[in-house]
Amino acid sequence: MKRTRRITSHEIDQLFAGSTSAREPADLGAAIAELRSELLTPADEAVAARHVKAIAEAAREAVGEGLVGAESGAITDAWRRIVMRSKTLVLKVAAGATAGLMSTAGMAYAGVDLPGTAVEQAVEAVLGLELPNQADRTDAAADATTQDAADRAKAGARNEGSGNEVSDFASGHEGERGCEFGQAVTEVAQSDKNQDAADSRTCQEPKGSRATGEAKSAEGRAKADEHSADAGSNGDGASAKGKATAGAASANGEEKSAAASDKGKGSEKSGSAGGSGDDASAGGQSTAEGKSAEGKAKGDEGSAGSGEQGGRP
Amino acid sequence: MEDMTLRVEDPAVELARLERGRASYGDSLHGFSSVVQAAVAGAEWAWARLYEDFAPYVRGYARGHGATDPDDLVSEVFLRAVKNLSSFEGGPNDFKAWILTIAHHRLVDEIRARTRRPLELAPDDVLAAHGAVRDAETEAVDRVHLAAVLDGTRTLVPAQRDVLLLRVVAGLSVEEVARITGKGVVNVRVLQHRAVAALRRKIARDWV
Repeated sequence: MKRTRRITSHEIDQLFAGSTSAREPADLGAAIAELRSELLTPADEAVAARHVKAIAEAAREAVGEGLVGAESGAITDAWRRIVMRSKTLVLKVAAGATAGLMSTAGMAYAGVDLPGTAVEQAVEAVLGLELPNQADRTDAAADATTQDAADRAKAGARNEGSGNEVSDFASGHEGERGCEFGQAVTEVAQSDKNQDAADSRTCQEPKGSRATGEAKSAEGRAKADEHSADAGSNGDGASAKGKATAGAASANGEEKSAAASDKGKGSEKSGSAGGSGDDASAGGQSTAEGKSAEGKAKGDEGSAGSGEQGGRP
Repeated sequence: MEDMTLRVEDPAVELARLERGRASYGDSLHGFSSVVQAAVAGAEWAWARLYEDFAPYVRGYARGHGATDPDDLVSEVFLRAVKNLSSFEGGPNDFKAWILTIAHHRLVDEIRARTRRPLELAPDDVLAAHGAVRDAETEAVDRVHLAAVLDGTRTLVPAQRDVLLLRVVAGLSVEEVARITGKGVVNVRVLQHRAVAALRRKIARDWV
C-alpha cells in the first residue's frame, strides 16, 4: 500500500488559501475549494431583508434605551455581575440557614435530645414554636425522679432501722411473752415514730445554744429532784406517774438522753421527763430503759422502784 | 487605532450624517468605521452592508457544524452583535473574527444541547441545488465529491472541525482561529494537520 506523504504547515496554508502546490494531489485542493464554495452561499434575499430589518430595529431600540456606548455597557455588565453575585451569596446563606434550622427543629420535634437550649430558643424565636422534650425539662424530670428515689430510699432505710430496733428488743426478751411483752414491743415500735417526729422538729426548728441547753437541763434536774421527793412521799401516785413517764422515757431511750446533754431541746425534754418521773431526770440509758420496764411490769412495786431511781439524779 | 466608541446625542441627526457619508468601505478602516458607527446608531443600510458581507461566513460556519437552522443562527448572532457593537474596534477582518467568535460560542452551546443528535451536514436539497446548470455526468461526480468532503468533515472531532471550517470557510489565520477557539497557536496547527490528514484519507478512499 502506498504511504501518503506528510503535508507541511506551509502547504496547508497554501491549500486553505486556494493555491495548490504541484506536489499536492489536486483532489485535496479541489475538495477544499468545493467545501468553501458549498458552505459560503448567501442567504435567501427575503430572509436577509427580514433579518436586516429586525437587526436595525433592535439597534435603534438599544440607542433609545441608552444602552449604546462602551462605558454604559461596561457599567451595566459590572452592576449585573455584582447583583448576580450578591443574589447567589444571599440565596446560599439563606438556604443553609433554613436547612440547619429545619433539621434541628425536625429533630427536636421528633424527640431527639438536643444539646442545650440554644436551638430551642432559636426555633421559638424564628418559628414561634415551643418544642417539647427539651433538655431543661428533661433535667427537671430527672431531678424530680431522683428526689423521689432518694425519699423512698430514706424511708426504707428508716423503716429498716425501726424494724431492727423492734427486732432487737424482741430477741433480747425471748423468755418473756404475753400481753405485757407485746405492749413493750408496741411501745418500742411507736417510739420510732416519735423519734422521727422529734427529728423532723429538730431539723425544722432553730438550734439553741449549748449554754441555753445546759441551763435548761439544770432547771429540769432541779424539778426532777423536787418531783422525786414528791414521788417518795406519795407512793402509789408516784408509781403511777412513774409508769407513765417510764413509757415516755423508754420511747426516747438512749438517743434522747444524749441529745438532751448536747442540745437545748434535749435538755428541755429531759427536764419535762424529770418533771414527770425520776427516771427521766437521770438521763442515762440504762436508767431510762431498765427502770421504765420495771415500772410498767411491776405495778405497785414501781413506787418503791421509782423512789430509788429518783434518788439517783 | 481609531476610537470606535459612539456617543449618540440625537440619533436622527447622526443617521442623516452617516447617510451622507455612505460609501463602499472596502478595506478602508475609515470607511468601515463609518459603517459601524451607522450600524450602532441603527441605520438599516449599515446593517444591510454588514449582513451582506459577513453573514455568509457565519452561515457557512453554522452549516459546516450541522446547525439545525443556519439562518436563524445568523440572525441571533447579529442581534447579539447589536448589543456589543459599540465596544468593537478594528477593521473588516477584525469584524469577521469578532462576529465568528460570537457564532462559535453560540454553536458550542447548540452542539452541547444536541450532543447525541447526528449532524445534518448535507441535506438533499442543498446537494440538488449545487451545480444545477451543469451536465448530468459532471454533476454526479461533483455530488459524489461534495458528499465525500462533507462526510469527511462530519467524521472529524469537533475541535478539528472548528479549525478546518474557520480556516477554509472564513479564511482566518492560525492566530485568529486560536483567539476564537481559545486554544494555542501550536494546538491549532496540530488540529489542522490532523483534520487535513483525515480528509485526505477520506477523499483517497471515496474518490477512486
